[in-house]
Amino acid sequence: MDTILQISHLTKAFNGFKIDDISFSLEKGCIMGFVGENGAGKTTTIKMLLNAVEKTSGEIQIFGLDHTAHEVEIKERIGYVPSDDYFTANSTLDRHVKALKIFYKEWDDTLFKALCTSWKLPLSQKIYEYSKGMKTKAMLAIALAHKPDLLILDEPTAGLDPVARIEVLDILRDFVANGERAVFFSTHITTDLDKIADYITLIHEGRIKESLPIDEIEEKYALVDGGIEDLKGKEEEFLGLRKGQVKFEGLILREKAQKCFKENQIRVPNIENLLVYTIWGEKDEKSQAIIKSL
Amino acid sequence: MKRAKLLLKASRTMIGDSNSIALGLFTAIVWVFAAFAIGFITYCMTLYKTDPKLGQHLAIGMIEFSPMVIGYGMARSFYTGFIEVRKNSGKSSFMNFAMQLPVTKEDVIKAQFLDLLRCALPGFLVLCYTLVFTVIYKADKIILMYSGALVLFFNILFLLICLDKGIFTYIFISSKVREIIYISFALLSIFVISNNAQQKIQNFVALGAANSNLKILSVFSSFLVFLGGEAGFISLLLTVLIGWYLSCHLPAKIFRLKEGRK
Repeated sequence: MDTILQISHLTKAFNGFKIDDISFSLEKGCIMGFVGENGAGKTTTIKMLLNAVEKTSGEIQIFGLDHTAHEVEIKERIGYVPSDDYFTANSTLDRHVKALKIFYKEWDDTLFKALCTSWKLPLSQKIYEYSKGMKTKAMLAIALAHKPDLLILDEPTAGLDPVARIEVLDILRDFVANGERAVFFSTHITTDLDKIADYITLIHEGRIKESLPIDEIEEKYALVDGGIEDLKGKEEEFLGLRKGQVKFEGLILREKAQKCFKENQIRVPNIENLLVYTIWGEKDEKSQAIIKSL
Repeated sequence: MKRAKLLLKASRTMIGDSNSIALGLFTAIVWVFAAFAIGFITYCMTLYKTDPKLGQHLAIGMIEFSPMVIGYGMARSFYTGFIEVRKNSGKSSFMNFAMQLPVTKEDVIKAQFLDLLRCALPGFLVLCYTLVFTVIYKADKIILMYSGALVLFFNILFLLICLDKGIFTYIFISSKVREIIYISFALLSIFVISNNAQQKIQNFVALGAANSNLKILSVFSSFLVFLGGEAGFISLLLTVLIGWYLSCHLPAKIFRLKEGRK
């Protein structure tokens, strides 16, 4: 498959925070979920893709082109939905669309109006009267109306009700169906990823913890639970672990799980397990270190 | 430049209805002020030939009025920037809007400079007209000082906005510096526009001219006289060029360096 987005050794140093040597790629026809905690570096990475934040080092290629040297032609083919809306509150959607469409050769008014009708977005109503969900839908309608080849979405489903979320996810699935386009979206809602993502990239404290196809999660990792007595001498093997007084649950590499635990203790992890336990593992070590230092 | 013009058009299109009416009225009033100022100075010129004393007296009154054209005109640029920064805690909503568009950051800063030029145009015209008046009719020292003070006021405001819209937007991450600039700008505008301040400037300039012991005042008043004549045109031209360098050329150069482009 052709690669639509290629990030290699991308680094950005801020005061007290660093996007540290991140690399991953997204292929045509795929949806990649970009997950991590608040402040992990998701939005910064997205802004670097759009060249709104300059990278310190590394390379970003979109549609096989360098993202700074070919910024205009790349952005013409990108649809972007930010986490914070870019609307002027005292204006209307109609005015924003008039302002936006002059930049795009492929702008499709019929598609935009159809999406607005379907999502009940009043074109002449003031933006301050819109709910957060309506603003997100409006931005998504704008992003789709210029017929992009790559959609970059920063927590697009965060403010949406369950029905609208399913609608949006269906649209994203349809968007990539022809195999020529792709979606890169950051989210906290891991159930959305379970529904539609083909790839998942997990970022934590500016570093990529994991980037792999969804199918490989099952092949690579296992979720193990059991009584606390089963854990003796095996704690080091876990990537992340939660212990109670009598029971434990943790994420472990599948091959290690098969060696150390019984088959009935091993389960298939979902994205949330991967997210929680890979980060939890680190937090647990940190909190233990703090407790010891007291 | 084509994309910068499109951005300027887009920024005007997306402004809200009530903002649009307010800014339209604001612009119309500034242009009416400008037309009035130009007309009045023309009248002063004709009077100057027949009754120099009356011409000079009216010209002083007119030049006192001119900061309104300069200050109010450019305050529009200041106003939108200030509102954006305050409402979006340091982020400009226009920058968020422009981030997705098929434009570069260089286009955005060019658009902002074009916007500033548009806002400054009425004041710029009135200033040039005042300078023509002082040069052709060889106005006396007090008028030269007034027009020099106007040129200085215009230059300072223009450069402040250029710094704010150019370098400060991209170099400093914190919005604190921008806020300080805005507040200084607001205070300066109020100071220059207010009538009492005009009186103070007049007293100050007169004091400087009269009292040769206060060397700083004397030098400053001579400087204003200098700016109020032919040198005013050169300083205006230099200000626009420096403003373009600070708000367009230098940030663009920094972007290119950061991105490893030539």
